[in-house]
Amino acid sequence: MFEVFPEIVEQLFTFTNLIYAVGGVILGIIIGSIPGLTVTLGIILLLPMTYGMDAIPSIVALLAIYVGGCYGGSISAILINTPGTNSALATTLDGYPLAKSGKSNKALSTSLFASSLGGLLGALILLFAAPPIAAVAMKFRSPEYFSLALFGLTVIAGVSGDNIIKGIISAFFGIFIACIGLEPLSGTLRYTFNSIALFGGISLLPALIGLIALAQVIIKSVEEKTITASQKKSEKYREELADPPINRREIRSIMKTILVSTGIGTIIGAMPGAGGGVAQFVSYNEARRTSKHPEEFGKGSLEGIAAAESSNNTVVGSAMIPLLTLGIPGDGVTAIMLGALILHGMEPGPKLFTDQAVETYSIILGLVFCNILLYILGRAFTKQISRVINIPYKILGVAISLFCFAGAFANSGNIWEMMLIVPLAIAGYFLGLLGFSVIPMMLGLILGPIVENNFSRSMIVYDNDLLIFFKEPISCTILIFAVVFTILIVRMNKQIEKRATEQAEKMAEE
Amino acid sequence: MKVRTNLTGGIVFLSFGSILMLLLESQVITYGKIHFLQSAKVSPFMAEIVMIVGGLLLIIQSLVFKKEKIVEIRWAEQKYAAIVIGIFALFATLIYFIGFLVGSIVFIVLMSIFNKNRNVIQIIMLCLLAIGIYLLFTQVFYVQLPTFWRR
Repeated sequence: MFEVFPEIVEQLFTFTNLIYAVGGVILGIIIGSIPGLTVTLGIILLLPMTYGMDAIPSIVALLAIYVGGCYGGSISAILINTPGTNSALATTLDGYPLAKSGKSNKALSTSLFASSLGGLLGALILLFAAPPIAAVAMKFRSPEYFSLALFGLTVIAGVSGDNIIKGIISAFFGIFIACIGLEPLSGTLRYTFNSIALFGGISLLPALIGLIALAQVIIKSVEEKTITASQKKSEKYREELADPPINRREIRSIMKTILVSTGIGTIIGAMPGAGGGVAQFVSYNEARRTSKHPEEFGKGSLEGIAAAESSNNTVVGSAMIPLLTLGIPGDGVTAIMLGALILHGMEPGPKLFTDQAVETYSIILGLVFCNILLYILGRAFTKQISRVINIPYKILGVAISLFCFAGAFANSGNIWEMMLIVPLAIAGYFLGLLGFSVIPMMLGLILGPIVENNFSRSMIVYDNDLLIFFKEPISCTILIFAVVFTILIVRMNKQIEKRATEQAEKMAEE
Repeated sequence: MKVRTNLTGGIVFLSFGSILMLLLESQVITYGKIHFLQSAKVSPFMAEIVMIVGGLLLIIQSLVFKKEKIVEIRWAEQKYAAIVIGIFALFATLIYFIGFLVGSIVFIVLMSIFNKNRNVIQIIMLCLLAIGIYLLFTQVFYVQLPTFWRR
């Protein structure tokens, strides 16, 4: 890194990058704070706008949204007991009781401090842990890469919802969609039905927009239509946040919790399929177990808020470790980040740290920078942004749809690709009704071509020997890890689901 | 209407995977002598196999092990979904024929009628947003969106 440091400084610290990072963090906080809007959605909507930009500002802007969104989720969790993102669910346990006792500002400032520090430490861990891992991974060949891509698909276990079979089907449906069009290695056309519109295949971005973003608009619009007037009224938030923020003594009291939660967030974030949703509950439980005041948990404990928020923001950095070094996404958001890196001509994997060292280190340092910005911007704008929670979905839904259609067209300038998002949204909506999560589908779409490419190369090099993936020791080890992780994640998710259901019931009672 | 999601999902993917499998030979044509494992057929073949086997497993789960998640599908809700989808389809068509800007305004008006939103200021704000998005893409990011004079 030190050899290319002057170039990194020159490319990263520009006025344009600063603007994108500031805009990204603010947009992320806004998106995260609105229940129903997700970080995934925010990144998908911003992605088409980055086409004309260089890789560094684009990826930094997307990471800024991720960082801002993770904190933003806690705003609605604290103020209206509704987490803006899944990874803020544990924040409601102590954030909302504290807000109810008239200490909203204290709860929000604790969340901001813990999020920024956790995120910053996570980004620094990424900066120092990623290069040695990449150096080891340099020895990998196509069988290892195939096994790694399969390992990446173990994320499915974590994002399949209540039925792993549905998750697997969904992922392979995504792989099938990725197969449509011209196959790059042999130039064979697949499932085009002689339609010129399908010759180029279904691009990643329109597929993401249709299956996830637009399908979500349909779901939410229907929900809004069927929700009763009394329910809508109760969601209105009006508060001045006039109480004092967290003080130095309180900061000192939560430091140990933040450091432990950062450690937990780092380990869990680096595991495929776990992510911030799991990290927050594991950290929260650990904080309660080791706290001097466990009786305060659930009643407005600052340690509780700090544990949940620091761990879920640490995940942003640690989930980037397997992504950048091995090309494995840790969760749904990093899967889109993988797509974004590929769209901007960067191929995640160990070579990234040698072939595109300036870009890679700039992105990592950009993440460090975004976490510092989060603290500054959070302190300045949280009060104003908290008003956004009241924007009705009938406005947001229309605005998101406009971005979806414009973004789908901007992808290639092809009107057919833009039209394709409507049937894809219909597919996403109906599959959602039948309990098929679209996140595995998205993973299949992104990882499918990588799996196929490395499988074909392995077959060519090793003369169609299917057992090569088990004969090569590293590849075999990765496959064993994939099985172990799948079992582990399924078990962990069951526990988390149980905890989340309990929390949802508690929230419903209140 | 109560829908057994495992059974329905199983039938949908069993049928879909089977149809795609039947189409494999005609839709993926490889030329010359090439081993199946190196051909362009292997990936879609694997995806279809998983859809078929997964579909079968879901049906077995539902009928044999009685493991089922039942979802209540209300026609009133689906009617709303159909209207939103119809508006999306119309919007996509309008973008093709009259461009993004004019199409967006029609879309905003239709969605406001659907949402029973009579707040004129909000509608005007959304129209301004549409113009903003158009300018953002065309002037800042240099991506041309369709207009009625240039498709």
